[in-house]
Amino acid sequence: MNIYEQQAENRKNTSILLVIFVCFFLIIGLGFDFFLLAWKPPTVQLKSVYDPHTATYSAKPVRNFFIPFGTLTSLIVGFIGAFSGYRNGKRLVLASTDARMANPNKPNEKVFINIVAEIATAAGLPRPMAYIVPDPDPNAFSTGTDPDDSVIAVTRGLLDVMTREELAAVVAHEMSHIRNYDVRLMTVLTALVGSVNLISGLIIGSRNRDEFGARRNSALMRYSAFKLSGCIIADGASVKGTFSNGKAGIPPHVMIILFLIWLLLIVLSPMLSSILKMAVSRQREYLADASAAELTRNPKGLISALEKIYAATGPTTSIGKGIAHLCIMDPRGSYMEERSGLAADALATHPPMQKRILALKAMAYSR
Amino acid sequence: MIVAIVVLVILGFWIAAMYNGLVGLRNQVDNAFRQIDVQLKRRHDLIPNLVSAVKGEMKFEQETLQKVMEARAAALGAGKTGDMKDLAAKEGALTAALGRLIAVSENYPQLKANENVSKLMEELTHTENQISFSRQFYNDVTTKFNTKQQVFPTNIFASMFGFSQAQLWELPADSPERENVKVDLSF
Repeated sequence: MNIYEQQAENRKNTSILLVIFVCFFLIIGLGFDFFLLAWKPPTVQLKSVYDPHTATYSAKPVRNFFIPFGTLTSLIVGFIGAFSGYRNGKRLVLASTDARMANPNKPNEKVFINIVAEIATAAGLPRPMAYIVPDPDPNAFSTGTDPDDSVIAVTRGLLDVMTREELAAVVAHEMSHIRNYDVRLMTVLTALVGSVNLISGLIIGSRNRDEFGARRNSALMRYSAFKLSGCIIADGASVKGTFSNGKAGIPPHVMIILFLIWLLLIVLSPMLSSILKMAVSRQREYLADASAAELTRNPKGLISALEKIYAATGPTTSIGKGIAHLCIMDPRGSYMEERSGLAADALATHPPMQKRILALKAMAYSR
Repeated sequence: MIVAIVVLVILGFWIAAMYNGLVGLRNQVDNAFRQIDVQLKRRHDLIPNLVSAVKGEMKFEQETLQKVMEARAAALGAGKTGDMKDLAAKEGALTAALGRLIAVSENYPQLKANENVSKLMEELTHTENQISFSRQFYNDVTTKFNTKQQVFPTNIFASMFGFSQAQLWELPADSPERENVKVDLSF
């Protein structure tokens, strides 16, 4: 696969994942309306109306429309979450890592500023701001939701160990995240995962204990438990039931099973959504590696840079796991790399370093 | 009748979209060329400073310095005529002369210790990279523009609307930048 095919493939996967996320909010919201608020699809009923002029009764259609509060709330919370993440993401990320602007009077920071300008020229984009994170472990990240207003930050440890060529490769990797709008996508995805957690927390009940040590179950959860027990006690065949409430064609026991599946989904949703986010993140890493090789026309520079970063096994302590997906390597260090298997794969923000290096080597040979 | 109108309207929209796409690409090509120009100008301004800074230490390399200054003058002259092939050739010669200067300067350790010189050398490396990356970007955009004009069915309309192929930034066959690097291993 060449660079351009890889880019196309990655874009396709990303749009599929985004659709799945929207479905997530819809399922949560629709299920809430359907099961707990007894929402019915809009119906048209004929109502007889007395007309005083002609002194006759005539049939007039009346629309019954029930506002789907749950769906609306779910979508609005998701949208607001995404929007606020979009607006404040860059400021929060820079503040949380203690990043400061690179100083052009220090020789090695001047080299970094120059390299950022060079790679921006190669990408045909405005020059991002260059920031330094005071941390001895080599790592780098980018932030900012728009190529016109973005930041590339590297740790001091990275500046110390990289040659000019390798530093250019790392900057090109971050520039690709900016150029491919990965930073925007990942910022919004992070906010979406946060919103899913919030909604799930509201429905299941807060996972924090209150000051008396008791688990606070939300009123919503107690209400749904009440409804569920009511339905089990009632004889499904004879009672229209709290659950069937007029939805002809769906027997109560099917409703209960559907309800349990939905509840399970709500409980699992925080985990499922972060697995999805990680999958997106891993896809974008391959794309950024490929684009970096394309920008510098030098896959070998990135290969040796990745090998150096991989060799430094320590975690990057000043970069929190919340922004791991923006880094060139998972800041939690190589321990994520050493665990293999399905679980570790699903929870990693980055593909295994060996696989990334192999993909780049394949590119270097095929050129 | 209705079918014919629908087909004509769709065709009209398609031609408009194609025309706008080509105009956008042509402007990108022009802009990318200006970027090369900006970087070349930077290099021309930087060279006199660099040469005067290293002149004292590199007494035995007057010839190398002389060649750099000559190549710079030739490139400045070519820039005024606006002939792109000539400009590419002259700038290529300047790149080669500067490359030699950088290589030779490695033999003078006292140059590296000089803060002013090392600053200028980093500036030079930076500018050389800027030139090669802006050249690369120009060629990428130009290739995209040219390909767009050549593919079917755009090729039927492109020349009708007055679009022509843009020139890639290439080195002429006899450019000194193409010469093999001679490595002297005798001590």
